Amino acid sequence: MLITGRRSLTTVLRLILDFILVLNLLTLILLPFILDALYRDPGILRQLDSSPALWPDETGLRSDYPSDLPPGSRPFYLVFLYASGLGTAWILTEGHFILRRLEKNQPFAKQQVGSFRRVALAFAWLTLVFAVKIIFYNTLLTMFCCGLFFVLALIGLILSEVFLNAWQVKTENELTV
Amino acid sequence: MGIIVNLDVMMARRKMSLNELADRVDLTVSNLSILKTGKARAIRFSTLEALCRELECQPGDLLAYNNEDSEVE
Repeated sequence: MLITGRRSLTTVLRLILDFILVLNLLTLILLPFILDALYRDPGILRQLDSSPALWPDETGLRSDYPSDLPPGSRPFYLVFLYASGLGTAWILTEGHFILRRLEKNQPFAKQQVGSFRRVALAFAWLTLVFAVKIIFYNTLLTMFCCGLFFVLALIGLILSEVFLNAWQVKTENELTV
Repeated sequence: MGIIVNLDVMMARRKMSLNELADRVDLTVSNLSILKTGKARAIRFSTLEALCRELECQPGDLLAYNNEDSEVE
C-alpha cells in the first residue's frame, strides 16, 4: 500500500482524524449536558482517577468526586474544556489540510508552512490553557499534558521552518533550467 | 535579479523560434520560456553550453549583469 498519494495510508490517517474531529465537535456541542451528567454522577470519572478526593461534600465527608473535580468547579471546567476542545479542533482541522496536500502529492506546498505554524500556535494555546488549570486544579496528568503540548508547539514551529526551507529548495530546483 | 537574460535578443538575431530552439537544445518550451522571461533562478552549464552551441554565441551574449537590479547588497 502507498504511504502518500491517493488511497494511501495518508488517506486512512486523514479519515481517522476526520472522525476524531467530528467526535470533537459533537462533544463541544453537547459539552454542557455531558458536564451536567458528570457532576450528577461523578463516580463515572472516578474510574479515570484513582487518587482520593480532597474535597468534602455537603455532609463533610469525602465525596466520590475525583481529586481535581471538586463540587462547584463546573464553570471552570466548562470554560477549560471549551478552550482546550476548540484548540484540539483547530489542530485536527490543520491536520486534515496537511494530509490532503500529501494525498495530492504536494508535500512541499507553501501552505504547509502556514498549517504547521497554526498547529504550533494551537499547541501553544493548549499549553496556556493547561497552565491555567495547573494554577486552579492541578494534577500530575495536567502538568504532563502542559509540558507535552509545549514540546509539540516547538516541534510544530521547527517543522514549519523545515517545510519553508524545503519549499524554497523545491522552487529553486523548479526554476533551474 | 541583477542578471539579465538576453535570450530573446539572440533568438531574434538568429531568426530562431522558441519551439525550434527548445527542440535543438532538448528543453521543454515552458522551461525555455522561464529562462527567456527572466523568471529562472539558475541555469545549468549544460543548458548554457547547448544554447551557445545552437545560437553560435558566447555566454556573455546571453547573460548580462545590471548593478541596479541586484538583490545582493
